[in-house]
Amino acid sequence: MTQAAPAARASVIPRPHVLSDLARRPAGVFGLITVVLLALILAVGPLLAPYPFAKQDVSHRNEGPSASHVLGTDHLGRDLLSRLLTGTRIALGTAFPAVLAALLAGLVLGLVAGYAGGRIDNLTLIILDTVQAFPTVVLMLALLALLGPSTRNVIIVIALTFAPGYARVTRAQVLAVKENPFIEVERSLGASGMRIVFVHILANVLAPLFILLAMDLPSAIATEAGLSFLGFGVRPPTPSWGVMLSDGFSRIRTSPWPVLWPSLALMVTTLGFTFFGEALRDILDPKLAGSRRA
Amino acid sequence: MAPLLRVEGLEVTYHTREGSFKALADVGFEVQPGEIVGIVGESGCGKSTVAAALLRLLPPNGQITAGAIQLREMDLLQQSEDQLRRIRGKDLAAIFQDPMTSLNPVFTIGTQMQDIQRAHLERAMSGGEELRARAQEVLTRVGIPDAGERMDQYPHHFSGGMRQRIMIAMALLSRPSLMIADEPTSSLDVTLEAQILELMKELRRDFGTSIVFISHDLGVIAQLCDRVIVMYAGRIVEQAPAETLFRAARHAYTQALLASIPSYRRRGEPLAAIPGMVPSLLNLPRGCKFADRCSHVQLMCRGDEPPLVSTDTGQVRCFNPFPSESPDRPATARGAATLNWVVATTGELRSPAERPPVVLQLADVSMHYRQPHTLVDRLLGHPPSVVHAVDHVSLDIRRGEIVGLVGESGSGKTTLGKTIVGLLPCTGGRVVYDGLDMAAASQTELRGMRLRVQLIFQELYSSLSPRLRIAYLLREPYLIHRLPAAERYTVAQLLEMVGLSEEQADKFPHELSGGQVRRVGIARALALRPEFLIADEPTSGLDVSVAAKILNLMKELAAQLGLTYLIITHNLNIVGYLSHRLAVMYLGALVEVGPTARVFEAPAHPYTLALLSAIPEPDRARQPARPRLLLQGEIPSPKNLPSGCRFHTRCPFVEERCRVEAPPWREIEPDHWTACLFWEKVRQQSAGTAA
Repeated sequence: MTQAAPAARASVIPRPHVLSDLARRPAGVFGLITVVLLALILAVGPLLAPYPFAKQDVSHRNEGPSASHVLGTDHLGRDLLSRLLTGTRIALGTAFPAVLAALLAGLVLGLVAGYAGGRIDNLTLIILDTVQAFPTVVLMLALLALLGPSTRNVIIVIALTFAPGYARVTRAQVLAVKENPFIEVERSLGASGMRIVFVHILANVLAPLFILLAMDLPSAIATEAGLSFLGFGVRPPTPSWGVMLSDGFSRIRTSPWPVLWPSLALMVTTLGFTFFGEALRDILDPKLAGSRRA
Repeated sequence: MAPLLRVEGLEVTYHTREGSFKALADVGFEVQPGEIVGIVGESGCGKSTVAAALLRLLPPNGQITAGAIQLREMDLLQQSEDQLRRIRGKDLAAIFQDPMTSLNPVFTIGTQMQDIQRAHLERAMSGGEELRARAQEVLTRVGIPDAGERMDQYPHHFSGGMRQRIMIAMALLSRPSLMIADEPTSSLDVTLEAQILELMKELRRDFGTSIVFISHDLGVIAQLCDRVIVMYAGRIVEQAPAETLFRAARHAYTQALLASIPSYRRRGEPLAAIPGMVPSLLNLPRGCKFADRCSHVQLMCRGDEPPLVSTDTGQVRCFNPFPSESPDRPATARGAATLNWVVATTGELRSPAERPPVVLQLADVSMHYRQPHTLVDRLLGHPPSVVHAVDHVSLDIRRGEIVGLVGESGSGKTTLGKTIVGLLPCTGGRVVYDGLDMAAASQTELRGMRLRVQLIFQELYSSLSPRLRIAYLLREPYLIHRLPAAERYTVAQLLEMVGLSEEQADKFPHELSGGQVRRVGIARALALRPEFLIADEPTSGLDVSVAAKILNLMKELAAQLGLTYLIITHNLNIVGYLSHRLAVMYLGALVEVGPTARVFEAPAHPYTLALLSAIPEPDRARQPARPRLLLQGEIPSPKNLPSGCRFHTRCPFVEERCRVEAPPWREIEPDHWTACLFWEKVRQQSAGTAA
């Protein structure tokens, strides 16, 4: 090994062979495939759609899968595949930024509260408690009524209601990590509070957040769906998985297909992200590396 | 006499993801009734696996693949799980290392002891009263005062030493014929360790219990055992009566282990460090497993594995064992070398005027802290309780000196170390470093001082940030202090300085061994080119041979870089070996300070005398002829200091005056200070019998 190599590579960033490690775990592979597939659909999905998502074909309503409509049609004769592909973009495009924003806000709050302790910690907890004390849906509806329904506002509202969860998980982790002797060692070397929090503590609290993120993503998609259903989110005829679900649900006795596809999509996404998150955690945590099988 | 326990050709295989390996191979020994057999070796040598196999408590991936274990007439390997349960705890009892976690925290001691009896009595023949009485009797026997009342307390009410006594009491309930003790004293202080060893000897004498005693500490083994088994890489390499073994070890590994123990007698000599590491069991060499580290290895050692052959007193697994009569060991040929070293590195023998200047001055330093004072406490009018962690400590350390700070846990040593580097506030007195009063210093001056004084923490793995690579950890001090490139060492230089290879730079802390982690800790402390190092328990948690290497390294670095050391430890062997001056601390205060030689040879405080006599000495012949002074009880709480002399509650020399009068701090000979009213009496006793 050359002398320069360790210096250049040493950092908080995990080992470079994350992907190959991931490929060795069946659940990880499934997760990875799902995530990559969703990303692809996100990027080019609407181009693949055989029909415009709002095009109605009244002569073929409530049909099952056929050659012309691979996944069937809904009660207005719209092509389900086209709607599902477009809906993916809406669903993830809302859920991902929302959860990411929640994570960032929660992370910062949690780090500060946990490390500073005392009054700052108490104040933060009071704020978190206040937000969490509201019934989620009521809070969201109230906020959306104030802000007005739009995709951007849905993102803000979801981020706001999800952030306390991240803040709490982060704070609990920080409280545990900061009792470790190595924090005191850093202080004895003269490290600043910023360095201790953002180099040493941060690296140790991220892992559980990853998995929380992966598991929150589907629930954010569902939330978006619910809000859209109530008329506060995505406006029809734009399809989101939620809109499709609620449309299909009221006509489930006529045809199961409109409910089946978005449900399946939601399920696969949930599982995929959860497995991906768990595999990622196992790999990224150097202490767990090799000790756990996925 | 028929042996109580006979183990023959025992082989244990572990199945792991990396493959299967034999943790034990061809292990055979006997234990006679009433005999204490010691099993010794470094970590990873299979000592604990022997204990687990004897109890048939191997982890699920472990399997006994060959051999036989016979307890009296009974073949333990043929017993069903049900039968085994009846045997364990009745015929066979076990005591484990960690007394803190071996007791169930939610049940009282009395309940737990009664449960054990219920489980083992054939029929529920006795009522609760009877069980309780029996439990109380056994607890009293192992030295729990007021056993009747204390039985209703929970484990957390007891200190570590007390809990280990309780564990022993539980093991004793059924009068087992064989007790297996796996490192039972390793987490205890020397004084408590001595008490527990004494207790075990008494048990053997009174009940005729046989004991298999597993330890990494040769000194402890020598104190207690009749016969010793030395293990290496899952094999028995030597077996001999304790006296023979420590006088004339036949196997090179045993010899090397013995030579790597630091002690006062070895002052000035380098410790014999065994090169290399214990080989991985997954990848053992073909021939003798010790060949790679052996000092007198021969060609044939690499071919076949040597068999365990009988000698006149025991067994040894070596083609070319050392002769049974010990030649003059180099250990005895010291003297001049020691003297030179001592003179060269410090001013121990120089006149006061020639000595190097004082670099660190502790003047009346105190560190008191308040326990949380709750609203309820205030309403009830309880005064806030103040913990006197460090109480009026005054000590001057000169440049280039190595000062040892010793005391039991709870004596405030670590707190003092942290107070010196400013991690804890000093609530009274002054810490002056090189003329700079830390309390009055500005932020920049304090930062500068941080560079010059470094603390090496006692924790091993938990003292390094777990998600950062070694290279980053080594460069971090520079990132923090933004030193110019000219004043930096490179990562490679730092690694080399502490004897690590460059491959280690790319690893995470958990991928290193304990010794390597300790070296990284030292390297990080050295990165800023400090002049003064405070080393808190530098060898805790390390095997003897690894500890020897660390001590050698510290000594080399001191000479190379002109460092001054304050070594904080409970292990008198280390400071006796390494330090020029010794400071003995008890309950937050210094009780004796003096040149190491004087303190070791003529202690002037009963606490020092007690610590010295608690040192487990491997070579019984070399045991100082002074009477052993076994301290009773444990260190009191620093919340309510005893009146008068703070040591009077445990002092064997105690007189009425000690209870009321705090002893003055006086210089009894040049540079030798003590805080005892009756130091002359103490000295008479220690010196009188030694002469």
